[in-house]
Order: sequence, then C-alpha cells, then structure tokens
Amino acid sequence: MRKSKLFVHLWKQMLFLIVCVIQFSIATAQTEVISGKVTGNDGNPLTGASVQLKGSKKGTITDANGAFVFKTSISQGNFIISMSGYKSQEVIIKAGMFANIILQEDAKDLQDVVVVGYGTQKKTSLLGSISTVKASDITKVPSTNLSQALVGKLPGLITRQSSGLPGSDDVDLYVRGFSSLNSNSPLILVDGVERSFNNLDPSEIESVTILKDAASASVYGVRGATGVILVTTKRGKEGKPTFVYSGSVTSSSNTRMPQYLNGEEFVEWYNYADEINGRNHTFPDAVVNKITNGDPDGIYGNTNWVNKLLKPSTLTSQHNLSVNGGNQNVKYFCSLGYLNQDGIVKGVSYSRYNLRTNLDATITKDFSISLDVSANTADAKSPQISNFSGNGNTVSINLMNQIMVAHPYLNPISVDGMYLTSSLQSGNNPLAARDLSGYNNNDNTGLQNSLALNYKAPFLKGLSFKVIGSYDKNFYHTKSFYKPYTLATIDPTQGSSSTNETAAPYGTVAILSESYTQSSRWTLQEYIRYGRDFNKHTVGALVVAEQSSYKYSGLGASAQNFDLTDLDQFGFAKENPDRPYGSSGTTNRIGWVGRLNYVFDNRYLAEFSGRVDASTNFPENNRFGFFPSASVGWRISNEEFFSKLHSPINDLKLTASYGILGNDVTGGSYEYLRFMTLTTRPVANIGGINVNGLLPTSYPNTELTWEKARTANIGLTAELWKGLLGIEFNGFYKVTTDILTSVSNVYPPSVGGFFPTTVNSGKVDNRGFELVVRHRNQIGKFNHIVVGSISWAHNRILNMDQSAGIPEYLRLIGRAMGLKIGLVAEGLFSTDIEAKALPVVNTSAKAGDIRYKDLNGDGKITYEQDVTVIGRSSLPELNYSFAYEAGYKNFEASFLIQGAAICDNALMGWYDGIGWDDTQFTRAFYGGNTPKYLVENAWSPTNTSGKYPRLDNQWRPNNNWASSMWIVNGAYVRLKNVQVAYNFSKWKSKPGAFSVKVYLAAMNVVTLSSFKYLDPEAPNVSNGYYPQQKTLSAGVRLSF
Amino acid sequence: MKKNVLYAIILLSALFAGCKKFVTPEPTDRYSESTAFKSEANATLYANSFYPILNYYGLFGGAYLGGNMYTDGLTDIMKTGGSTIGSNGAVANLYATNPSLITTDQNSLDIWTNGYYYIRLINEFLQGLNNSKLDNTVKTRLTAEARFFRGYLYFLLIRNHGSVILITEPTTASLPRSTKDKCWDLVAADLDFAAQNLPDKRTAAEAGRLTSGAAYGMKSRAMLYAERWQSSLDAAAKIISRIDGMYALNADYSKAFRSYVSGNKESILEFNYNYPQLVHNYDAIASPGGDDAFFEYGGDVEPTQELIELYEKAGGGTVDWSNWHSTSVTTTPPWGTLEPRFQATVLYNGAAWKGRMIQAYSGGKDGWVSYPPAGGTNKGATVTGYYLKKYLDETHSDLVNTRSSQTMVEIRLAEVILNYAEAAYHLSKSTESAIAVNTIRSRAGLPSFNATGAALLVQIKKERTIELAGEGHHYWDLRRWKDAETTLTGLKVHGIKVNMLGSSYSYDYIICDDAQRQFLKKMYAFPILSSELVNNTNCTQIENW
Repeated sequence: MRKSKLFVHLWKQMLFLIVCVIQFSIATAQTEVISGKVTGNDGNPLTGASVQLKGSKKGTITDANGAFVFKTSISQGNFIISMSGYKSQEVIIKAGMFANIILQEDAKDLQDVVVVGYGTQKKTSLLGSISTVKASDITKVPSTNLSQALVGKLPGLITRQSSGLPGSDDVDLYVRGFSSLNSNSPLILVDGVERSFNNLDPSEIESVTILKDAASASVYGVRGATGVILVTTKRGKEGKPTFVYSGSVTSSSNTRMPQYLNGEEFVEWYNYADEINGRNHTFPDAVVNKITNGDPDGIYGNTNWVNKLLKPSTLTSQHNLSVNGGNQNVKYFCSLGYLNQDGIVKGVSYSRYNLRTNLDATITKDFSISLDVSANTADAKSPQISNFSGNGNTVSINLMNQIMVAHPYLNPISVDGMYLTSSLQSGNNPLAARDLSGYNNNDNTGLQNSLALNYKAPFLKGLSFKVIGSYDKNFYHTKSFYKPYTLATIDPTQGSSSTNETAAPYGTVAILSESYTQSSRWTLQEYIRYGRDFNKHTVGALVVAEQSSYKYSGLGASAQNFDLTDLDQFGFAKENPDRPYGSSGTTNRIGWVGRLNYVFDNRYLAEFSGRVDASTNFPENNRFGFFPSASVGWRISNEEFFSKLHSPINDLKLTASYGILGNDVTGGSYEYLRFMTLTTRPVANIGGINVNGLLPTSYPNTELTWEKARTANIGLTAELWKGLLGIEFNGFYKVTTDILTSVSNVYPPSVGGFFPTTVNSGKVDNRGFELVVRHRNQIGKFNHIVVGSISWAHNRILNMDQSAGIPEYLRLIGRAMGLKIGLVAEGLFSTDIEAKALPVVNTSAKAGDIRYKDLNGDGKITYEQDVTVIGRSSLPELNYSFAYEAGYKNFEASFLIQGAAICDNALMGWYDGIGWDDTQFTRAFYGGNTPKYLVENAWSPTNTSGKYPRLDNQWRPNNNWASSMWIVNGAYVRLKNVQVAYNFSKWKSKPGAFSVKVYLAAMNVVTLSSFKYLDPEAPNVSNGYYPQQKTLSAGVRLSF
Repeated sequence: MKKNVLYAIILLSALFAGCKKFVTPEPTDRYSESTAFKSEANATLYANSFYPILNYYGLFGGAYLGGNMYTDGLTDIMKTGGSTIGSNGAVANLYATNPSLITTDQNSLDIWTNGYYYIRLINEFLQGLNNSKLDNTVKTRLTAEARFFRGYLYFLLIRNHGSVILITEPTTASLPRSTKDKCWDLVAADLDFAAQNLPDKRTAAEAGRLTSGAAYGMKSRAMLYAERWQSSLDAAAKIISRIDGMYALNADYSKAFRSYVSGNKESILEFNYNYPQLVHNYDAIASPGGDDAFFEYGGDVEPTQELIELYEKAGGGTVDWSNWHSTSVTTTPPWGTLEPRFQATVLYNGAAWKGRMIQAYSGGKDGWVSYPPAGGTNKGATVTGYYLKKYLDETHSDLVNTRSSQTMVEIRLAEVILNYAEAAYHLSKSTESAIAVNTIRSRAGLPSFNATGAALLVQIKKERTIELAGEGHHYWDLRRWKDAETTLTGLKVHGIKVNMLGSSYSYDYIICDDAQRQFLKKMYAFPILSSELVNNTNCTQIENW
C-alpha cells in the first residue's frame, strides 16, 4: 500500500468516527433488514455480542440492550452469534423477522481473559498468582478515588486508610504486606505506563489487576519486588453508540470520634483532679457558677466545639458521562467526570474533573492504532492552620486537634465579637483558626497520552509488532497564605472577666508561600509477539523493549509581612527572608522483557519470563540486572484418568512458580556519584573578595545494588459442580535480600568519612497465602454470587544492622517489621505503699499510676533498659472479606464485609523509627479538653477499679511513657459496602431503548473493633486526625 | 507489503539500539564531580574549600582547646582566665595542671578526626584532578595548592602523635601507622612539590592564595620538628634570599602582624577576613574587659610575670624585678622602660589603649580577679594583672556586636629567620645562627648578642619565645625542644596584682595558678583515640599510652 493511500484511508476512518458520533449510525443502501436481540441464559441482554454472516465479514454487534439491526442484500443466512464467555451459536435468521437468541454461558469462568504484564492471557492458561477486580465491582458503590474502591476486593492486597480528608483519602496499598525494610509500595501502571491513579475517575476504569508472585511480576524486573498493580481503562466496543450517565450524591460523616467533655463536666473533672492530687481548685467557684448558670459578660459558657465545627454530615457529588461504541474499524470510549467533595470542616473541599478519550482504529487489514488521551485536574482547599496534608496528624496544631482540645467552658466569640481563648493550656480558638487563618490550596493537572501502533505480520501467521509511545505531563501548584489574627484570652483561674488581646499562636506576620512543580514522563515500548497453535501445542513468545524517562522541575518561594492581606501576591510583601528555591531531576530506565509460553494439550503449561533492566539509581558496574522466573502448571481435570473419576470437579489446575525480582529503591538518586556542594558562606578572602568553595558532600557508593526478592508460589484453582463452587488458593514464600540498610560507626576516623552510609545488607522474609472461595448460582430469576477471601502475610527480619550487644528483648532480628517498642505496663498501683516499694520511672508515683515491669531486674524502671516489643505492626497480617451479591428480576443487592486482624494500634504517638510521644488520647487534659473515656475510666480514690492512670490535669512523670497500656488491638471488621439497586431496563425491549438503574449505597456502615473510641485504621501518630468517613449515597445510571 | 515489513523492521530496530548514554543522565539539581573538573575556574573553586584549614588550625581557629590562642596558656608565658569548662579558655588551665585529662578517649588537643577529614577531601581532589582533562599546567598548580594543605595537615598530625597513618588516596581501608621517617618524608615531599610549583608572587586579584614562599616557610617550620636541620635551613634560606625584593622585616614590630596586602612585607602566609561574612572572635576573646560596656567578655589569654621578665629594657639591658617579688610595693614596675616588643605584646595597668588608660586593678574598668575566679569565669578581668595586646585591633570599638576581621599571619619572616637560626645552630653554623638572631634583635632595637654553644641555643629559644609570644607557637616549641617537663612541671605562674590606693597604686607579686603545672613525658606524643583503634585493628597505640 502506498503511503498516501494509507493516509487517505486513515482520514476516512477519522471522518467516519466524527459522523458516527454525531449521527449514532450511518445508513447503507441495502434493502433487507436482519434484526433481533441476544440475551444470556439469565435473561439479561448481552451488549457487544458479535452477529456475523457465516463465511463472510458481514455482521454487526449488539447494542446496550442486546439488540441488533443489520441491512443486507440477502433475505436469509446462517449467522454465528458469539461473545466472550458464552458458547457461540449458529442460527438461521430471516430478513424481516425479529430473532430472539439466547446464548449459553460457557462453563468456564466468565472473566476468561485477564490483564497480565505487557498483555492479556486466558485465565485458563494463567500460571502466575494474580487478582483482578472488574469495572462493575469498582463502581458498585461510589468512591471518590480508585484506591478506596479496591479495599476488600483483591485478595493479597493489604490496605490501610488512615485519613478521610478530601483529596488525601486514598488508601495505602501493599501487595502481600511488607517484604522490605525500605519502600513497600507496589509499582502502579495505568494502561501499561507508570502513572499515579489517584486522580483518575473510578468510572473510567475497566479493571484493576495485582500481580503478586515472581512469575507474573518478573516482566517488571527491577521494580517488581513489592508487587505490581495494573490499571486498565475502558475502551470502545463495536456497536451503536451507548451513552451512559452515572451520577451520585453522597453524604458522609465521621466513622468515629471520641466524646469530649462539655463545659460543666470539664471544670468539674478538672477541679476534681486538683482535689485528689492535693491542689486547690483551678477554677474558682465564681467561674464554675458562670459556666453552670450563665455568664452575664458572655465569656464563660458551655460550647461543644466538635458540634460547632464538624458538620454532622457533608455532601459529595459525582457525575460521569461517557459514550462508547464503534464499528469494526473504529471504536471509541469518551468519558467526562466531575467530583465535588466537601469536608466535614468548613473550608475543606476537593474537586476534580476528568476527561478521557480512548480510540481504536483499524487502518488496514494488518495495521491498527490506538490513541488514548486523558486529562484531569484536581483542586484541594483547606484553612491555613489545618496542616492536614498527608496524614496531617503529625502536626500538633492541626485543626482537628484544635477542635478536640478547645476549651469547652468558653463561648466561641465574646459579645464584642472577639474570638475567645483561655490562658490555661493551649491558647487556641479553632473557629478563628478555621475562618481567619488564611488558606492552603493545592491544585494539580495531569495529561496522559498514548499512541499504540499494531501491525500483524502478513508473512508469518501469529507474529505481530506493536509500538506504544506515551507522554504524560503533570503540573502541581501549591499556595498557602497565613494571615495573623488576634484572640481574646481570659485567665479562668483568677475568675477574671476581662480579656487580653493576644496574637494567634502561629505568629504575627502574614506569610505567603507558593510553589510550582511540573513533571513529565515519556515511555516507549516496542513489542514483538508470536502466538500460534500447532495441533496440541500452543506456543507464545513475547519480546518487549522499554525505555522511559522521567523529569521534574520545581520552583518555590515565600514572602512575608503584608500591610494588607486582602490580595495574596508576592508584590505586596515587604520581606523576602528566604531565597526562592528550585529543584529538578531525571530518572531514566531501560529494560528488555522476554516471555515464552507453552501449553501442551491444555494439560501441561509452562512459562519462562525474564527481564533485563537498567536503573539509573545504580552505578555503571551494577546498572544492569537480569530477573528471571519460571512457572509450570498442570490442568489435572483435562487428563483422561480424571474424567473417569466422575468427581464433581470440573476444572482443577495446579501451578508452581519461582523467580527473582528487584527493588531499585535507594536512599537518594545518584548515590554512586560524588556530589559537590557550594558552600553557603565564603571560605576565604582572595584579592579582597570573599570566595566560596565547592566541597564534596557524599561518598560515591559504587557497590550499591538493588534488593532481590526471591519468591516461590504454589497455586490451586478448582471449579466444582459446574461453577457452583470455585476455589483459588495461593501460598507463597518470599525472601528479600540485599535490602539497603544504614551503617555507622564501623569505619575508623582515619578514612575521613570516606565510606558508604548505606549497604545492601538487610534480609527479610515474608510468607503467606490467599484463599478465595466463590459460589455462583441461578435459580429461576434469582441469581447470586458469594465470594469469601482471606489473605495472610507474615514477615520476619532475618538480618539488619543492629549492635551485637543488644539484649534479647530488644533484638529485632527474627521479629516482624514495624513492631512497637515500649515498657510493659502491669496495671496500676493500688496503694501509695505499693508505688513506693516497687520499681518506678519516677519516684513521684502514687496509687493509680502505672506499674511497669522491671525487665532487666535492676530495681529501677529506665526506658532504655526496660523496653521490649509491646505491639505488632499497624499493618494487618490478616485481611479478609465476604462479598454477597444477589439479583432477582430487576432488583440487585450486594454487600461487602471486610476486616483485618493481627495488628496493633498505638494510642500514644508512635513515630515509626523515631520514638513516641504523649497524645491527647493517652494523657487527660493534654492541651485542653479531653476525651470522656480518659477521665471517666481513670483511677481515682473514688474509682479504684479505673482502667486508665490516676486522674490528673498535670503531667505525671511516671505515666507518660510508651507502654503496653496504650496498645490496642487493631483488628476490626466492617460492613464496608451495602448497595441496593433497581433496573428499569426491561421497560422496553425495542432497539435503542433507554435503561435506568437507581441505587442506594452505603460505605463503612458498621465497624466493630476492640477500641471503640477511634477508627481502627487511625494513624499511629494521632494528635487528632481527619477520620475515615461513613457514607450514604444515592445514585442513578442511565444508559441509552 | 514488502515496504510495510521494512517499516516494521526499522521501527523495531530501536529495540536493540545503544542505550549506555541514556541510562547515564547527569543530575540537574546537584553538582557532581564531573562539574568540579570541567574548567579551571571550577577546580579552583574546589581548591578554595581547603583554605579554611588555615583558619581552623591558625591562631584564630578552634582546633585545639576550643581556641588555638589558648595553647600558649598551657605554658609558662600565658594564663587563661576561666576555671570552669565552657568559660574563657578554662580547658587550657585544666590541661596545664592536670595531664590526666588527656586520655585515649578524649583529648582537646587532638585533631585526628578533622585532620583526616580534610586529608580525605584533598586526596579525593587530587585523584579527580589527575583523572580530569584539565590542562597540565592547571593540574600542576592546583596539585601544588592541595599538596601544601596535605603536607601542612600531616605536619600537624605528626607534631601531635609522633607518627601517624599515611593516606594519600581515598580509601576505606584500615591502615597501620607509618614510621616517623616515612611520615616526615611525606610532609617534605608535599611541601617541596608545593614550593616548586606554586607561584612566587600572586597578583593583587589572587592575593591570599598560596605562594612558594608559604610552602618554603612551612617546610622550614615542619623540618625543625622533624629535626631535619638541613632541610629546614635550606627552606628558610629560600625565603631569606628573597628579602628586600619580596619580603622584609617590618621596621615597626607592632605592625608585623598586618596583611601583606596592606604593605607588611613580613607576612609570608596569611588568612584574610572580611566583615561581616568572614570573621573571627579574637578581639572579643582577648580584649581587656573594659573594652565593652557589658564587662562580661575578654581577657581570656593573659601574659604572665614569667613572660614579662624575659623582656629587656628598650635599647638593651636586663631588668631587675626582685623589688617586685613581694607585696605592697608602691613603686610602679618598669613596664614603660621595656623594649618595643613588650609594648606591642602586653597591656598593663596604665598602658595607653583605645584612647584611655588600662585599669587592670580590682574595681578598675578592666578589673582584676583572683584565680580561680568566682563562678569559674573572669568576666573580662585579668588574673595576672596583664592583658595580651598582640593581634588585637585597636580600632575595633564594638566588640559585642561586631566580630573581628583583622588578618591572621600564619608565617612571618621573623619566624623563618628564627627557624634558620635554630637549624644553623644544629648544623654547627654558629656565625650564621647568631647573625639571624641578631637580625631579629636589631629590629627590636636591641644590641647584638654574641654567644656560641649552649648559650647560643638558650638565646635562640629565649628570642623565639619573646618574638612569637601569643602567636600559638610556644607550647609546641616546648614539646619540640623536649623542654616542657623541665619548664612546666611544678611551676605556678605569677602575676602582679595592682591595688588602687586613692590616687596611687601598690603592687603585689602573686601566684596565679591554683595548682602546679604538670607535663608528663608521654605527652610528647599524644595517644591515638580509641575511636580509631576500635575500628582499625591495624593501628597500634602510641608507646606509653
């Protein structure tokens, strides 16, 4: 074919597409009309089924209602009706007659093709350990981001959501838990390219697959060790254009929040704490009287700050409009999405727009292209003094903390309009912080584009070539403006009614900070594929070369001191104390993938795959690595002897795999280079001029290499009673070696600091299993699906850099990662005499203070000597779920129960790898108001059976240590989702009909856990955080 | 169709395209070594980073005892003011009287870690420079600069320990100590290379960079410690041969410590400061307490009566101090009659200073306190009755808010001439030696001195002590001469307490030390710190430690 002709053809296809979108279809000059409808054996219309005249290329695809209309010159013909997952049928259809065709479901699982690395594979011949979730399950209950939609749906995916803040409420995802001392985050690919999925609209997702074992992830080589998540977006299907609108309105509220003292209770408990600790009442009777009976000055009162600042519920709305369709030459999927999410605190919001067009076009018989263009833009806003960013809770002044500890005995605003606060403990007023402190805004925009060219080699059957080029660009912008404000401070201890004007505790100077960062990534993948059947042999081969380059650059500045704070521009600032800063970097990667598949007689399966990878994180001598894997499978059910057994097992497959994967995480980029830093101050005066120096600041670590994870996996897949019961089991053992760990104090000073700070010396193993049991049945018009799954993963540190002389109870080698260290609490002292007699941290200990275990037996409690492991990691070892889905006629209902176990949470602030600190959940009146449980259950002379330490409003030096007193079991079970829906689609059965589905859905409906005051997934450092949200949604889905 | 096949093949040929360059990107937010040697200017910037060595180990630096000016306080000629760690050079007082403070775990006179840190930087620089594509002349010049600093650092380390580990390229290896000879060989080789390849003179724009004179001067000093007399003499002779053209003794001793740039031809190696970014604290530390309104700072290093009594009368002649070796003497000591070097080195009660008179008496503006001072700090008052004047900037008026920027002269011609005198003496060249000593005396307006044999050596040492007093040499010279035990052990230094009696004064001869000074023989070589020995089993401890 000549080049020009090719372009003409391409142009024609494009025109066709445009016409198609506008007119929905084009008429042809044929006379006879073949029409009908295809339904499945459950009575549901089948969309996208192929209707083809036997022996020709003429045919069409059914629309959203299963209907097809087809103009032809013949009056009657043999048609092949086929659809993936169903048995094909040959029927004779006459022109002018409406044919009703029912396709029988194939005995095999409906989801018979799954996404794997660099391609798709028939589920029946799959050897690796993978889990997949489909579009219908992702969008069943509206969720604001994709990661939330995955919770409980992918066996082997360990999840933890520690924040409910709009825009930051994504879930931490770990494939099979932790297996490295460094980053355990999986590699995330969207349509084959490394991309974040945080800003994608869940409605544009077709499927999400996780690759868990070495056999399935080895094609990702040096980046596959911590698992891979493959996200696939929706594509057009042949057929009339189908418009789908889905919209939902969601109301959300906090899952859990401890109850706080009101004004009266606060002063009562506070004074009582003084009393039992031998002090005078802090609040004089006059003040108590004003709080109880009203204050004529309008200062003292009874304020419920939580109710005042946290809305009982808030609204999220989501809309998505998509169209998909096409003919055999051009297929398209276009989607437009919008999300608007308000926070439970005024001023917190998140909004997002998503746009996507995925096109597939066949240019010639052998040549086709796919063009994906997508864009998203998201905008998150919050009050300046909120510090919600990330988990946010690590900052003690975060707004949620302020709300919790605010003084309940004060009115929020005085009669003359001043924001009131107290000189007792922290001087905050969360209302002022929310409304007056300025703002924090983050917005980012992403563009994701890919073009794929496919070419089927005409000279060798089964050989094809493909080239995919993609280019992504992301823009991030943050702007924060702190505006100083004043508070009216009252001293309640003096019974005073006059206030002092004081500055807010965050400074008296307005500060404006702004930064822009942009990043881009291009990826080029070149494929050679070969796949063919020869009698009983099926062979497949794949070679991919991949190159990618990631670049980023950023610019930020800040300025302060504004006479007017109405406009937030640098030009109005009077001072620029800090220089603007810039940053930039490049990461390039290159890799070659190879995979060979072989199947003999559908009984014996084998696959070898591997990847050669180069990562710029490593020195030239260690830059290239080879990551091989091998897997074998045996489909026992296809053996002749098996069919003779007449067992209820229809399908039984055993698989085993082994492979090596890498993790190229390093402490920083280019660690193999010797870096130079310009001194910030002059080093000498030369010729009357101060000169700076260039100084090497790093040791060029030329020995650095990747972590290696060796994974063995065995799997069993079985189907019994023709699909009534399905079982999938995977067991694994994984050893990660060469984990980067830091070294210190092993080199003499004479080498002058010329030594590596990190070496590849850590070793961790991880073992576990996933078990999925499915039941699917159809009884008349009632059908239901039950899926139960359980995932367990347990890791151990086999080697790390820990001093040899460390006592056994502190030795981390041999133990799991992320353990919590602290003193062992053995209840409370029951008498002062006991407190005097037994070992204590501080001699001020009295009855009601914590009794610790003296581990080294020296008669003293010293933190360094007497700490041991007191709690498990916060990341659960066990995750399980139970999903139920049922349909009857036009009704649908489903629910998902999800839970986690074998994990602990710390109420004291636990900073991983650093240490611990008190929080307002462990120390009564810490910073102000206090949760009721801490005072009501505290030991006091009148409550000697109290569970928590002696009630006090002061720091008690014996009690505020990290101890097992504050470790709570992190296990929980949630009714994660519930959904009921009604389909109006059967109102009309004519072609081009309208279908409507309405539903009600709820998320995080009920949560059960041992500690009932905080959400079980609360972060470890909890000075008050933005909790997970409980939601109730109403939605509609229209399709026409 | 064949063309299609061709297209496909061309397209896919990229599969096997070369990629080495692609996966070797250069960082864009940090400088790497390749930048450092891209040009002469860049490499020069790298070499700049070694100049702080001069500052750190120089008189105004903090390598020893928290301040190098305090090392004279370990000797007979100076006393520091404070007695509690953290105050006014107190460490020097504690070390002077209690040698057991020097242990294998802790030694405030140890420079091992910092010294080897800089040696590593220099070795890395030399390796990178050698492998770079820079012009050979540039390489040679920069190598000379770097090797000067390495030679200087090894000299300091060997001065401390007697023998050390020689590392001349970047390594993570644990190496043993080398023999004393090998150590000095390296110092000699490094300084020779520097001397032969550094320029003799720097242009005005390059003033402050090393010169060959600096290297010769340093070598003449180092080789005295090595007792390689000929090497020392030869190096000193190179400088002396440049007298008049390039170098000259400053006729006014009190101006001998100024910058070469401002016309002081006596300065051979100096480090210049520049307010406000490149500054030091010397004035705040050493000035008389009366110089700042707060009366809380200064007076850290104070001359002792032992030093004062070394000075001759102006124009020559010894002073009889026996009258003042008692209490309640009403006659004013003969301070005003002493030679110019005394006048330039010591501030005494009644001396003119910053437009006023020094009030070094109890209750005076500058004050006097007995040692050990109450609260551990002298708060700017003197404990000996004297203040150190040398190197103070008399024009510096706001010591509290403005840090100092006067030049630090590391090597001046007078020292080199004295090096020459000492080396010549040991080479039995008495005549040359005496001429050299007399050159120094003559500048101070003192008559020639004629002696040979042991008397000449005594005179050389005395002249050196006087000439270089307060410049941080004396402690190391005492160790080098092996005179430290005899000079220091059992000594309590003296001062003169001035009492104001209405309009007149009385003078008391006082003991300023609260304990006898001690110097143990093993302190001629400091121990290797245990942090080295623990991680370097090839390194052995110094004998007797």
